Amino acid sequence: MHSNEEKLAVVLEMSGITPPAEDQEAILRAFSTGRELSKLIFSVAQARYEEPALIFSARV
Amino acid sequence: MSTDLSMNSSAADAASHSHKFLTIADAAAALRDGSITSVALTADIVEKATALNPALGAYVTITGDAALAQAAAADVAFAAGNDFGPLQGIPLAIKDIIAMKGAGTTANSRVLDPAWGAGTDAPVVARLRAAGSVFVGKSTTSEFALGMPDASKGFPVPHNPWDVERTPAGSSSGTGIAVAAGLALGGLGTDTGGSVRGPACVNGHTGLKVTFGRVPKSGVVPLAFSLDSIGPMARSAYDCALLLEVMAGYDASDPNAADVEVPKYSELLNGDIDGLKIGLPIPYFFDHDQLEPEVRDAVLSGVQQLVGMGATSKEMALPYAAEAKDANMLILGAEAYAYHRNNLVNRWEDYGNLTRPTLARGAFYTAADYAQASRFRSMWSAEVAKAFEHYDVLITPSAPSPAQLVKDMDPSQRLVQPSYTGHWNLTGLPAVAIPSGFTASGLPLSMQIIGKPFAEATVLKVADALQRVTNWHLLHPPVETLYATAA
Amino acid sequence: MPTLDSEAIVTGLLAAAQLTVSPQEKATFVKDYPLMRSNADALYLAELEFVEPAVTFDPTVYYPA
Repeated sequence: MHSNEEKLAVVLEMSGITPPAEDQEAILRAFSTGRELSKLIFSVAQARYEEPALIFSARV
Repeated sequence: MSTDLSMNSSAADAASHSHKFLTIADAAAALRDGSITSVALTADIVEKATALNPALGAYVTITGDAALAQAAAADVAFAAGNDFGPLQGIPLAIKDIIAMKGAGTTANSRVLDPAWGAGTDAPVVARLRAAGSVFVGKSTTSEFALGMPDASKGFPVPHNPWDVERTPAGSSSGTGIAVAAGLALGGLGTDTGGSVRGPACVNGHTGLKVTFGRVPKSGVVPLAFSLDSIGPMARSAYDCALLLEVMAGYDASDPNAADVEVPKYSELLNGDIDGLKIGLPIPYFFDHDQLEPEVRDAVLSGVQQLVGMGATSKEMALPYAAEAKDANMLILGAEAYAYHRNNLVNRWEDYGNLTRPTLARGAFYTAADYAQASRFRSMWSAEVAKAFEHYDVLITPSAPSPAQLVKDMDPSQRLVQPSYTGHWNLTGLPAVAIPSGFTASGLPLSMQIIGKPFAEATVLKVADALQRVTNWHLLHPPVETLYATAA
Repeated sequence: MPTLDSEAIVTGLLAAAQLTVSPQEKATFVKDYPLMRSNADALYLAELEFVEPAVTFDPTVYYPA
């Protein structure tokens, strides 16, 4: 199973971001929290068939 | 450009029992002059749809009994002098991601909750039902309107009726096949990146992607929330107009639905395109090295015919056309992935083997990518709007090639091949695909006409004008040879 | 300077997405990833620096008149 450190390394690589060593711990905490938040959002059964709040209009 | 008249034409078949190749307009006239009944027409179509389904895979579910009941009700209404309009008694195909009472919806997938949409009509289906239409059945779709067929999942595999070794395109494959092969006179498809226009293109008939919000899309399994649309598919632009004037209009159940008046589209198709200004965006759309010369030449020949009727055409350019195709794919991928994310985690193997990799791509984009694609979308929509200050319509090929051999296809192609349809989902504009001829080997060719927001009347008028002087949209594949295969 | 190859990136992204795929499926993702990534990167045009997204939020739709 991949650790959050390994997943974070991939995300940083994708983003082209190379934070200094002293930022790594804080970024890892933020990443881990972000993953948990994402899981939480996708676990809300009531939102399963909802439309997004952002709407596109062809006319503007 | 010559037309191979050895192919069957609607006129030739009219003398036989082949009412299934009639246009909706001609069938409507025949129903009213008593030369056919809806029951006879529907019975013929249901019988042929059933017989040919093993060979063509047009339908997931054929609702024969219910269709005949609808047809009988239409005939009774005619006899009583009740006329609900040109769609009364007309057999139609409904794409199997759209909710329809009396038949379940599968989205061609083992993953869709069987209870989804049960016992309800999507607003667009309810409108067609109220207009007296007959529903032949739920037509085959690419899984969740995105994948390619996986025969191991137990759903019918769709085949192009012009050449069963070739793709009928997707995702509205079933409706595309049904209209071409006379297994319905028209029907519904959905279009998120080309899924109405692609099947119309390779099956040799007309398919309209409407302005985003023109037709309510509630009661449809979503693919991409900000790109999806429901569109009519039929032989002719005139038939699409007849369908659209019933389908279109605001419905509060769809937060994307536009509250814009619905004209009587069919009454606006008068063949007069004198002074119409056509723009031809050459870079990417006409000069790509993967665009086949036969495709390009057929489109330009069609444009010349329109010019001969009084239109003018001018070459022009739209910037970032290749990037626009990618922006559409990115937005589609991200929005689709959000909808399927939990099921992909828990039910990966239940998805088709050619659907799940395409859905999973959404996991490889970042949230910022989606936001940025949306900003690109703003810029590109503004660029296209600037072009429309000088032109009434733009014309492009519908696809870079005619129908591909199925054995040569793979999902990764979409990343590399040019595509001419997603641009108009990105900008939310109406775009119709109509036949523009045939290849030397007898495969349908197609051109695409794009208009300003809510200018469906204009794009259909141009399409109709060309169809008044050509008969490609009336030709149909020689399906008689398939009965032996199906037996 | 990139330090991870496509294989490592796709492996990590699949893990983050909690997806377990076949070796053949993963190989296809690895093959396609560089083009997907470069196509997405190409949308970060300088001229879009001050452009708003095309999808907008309207809070009033949740409050019927």
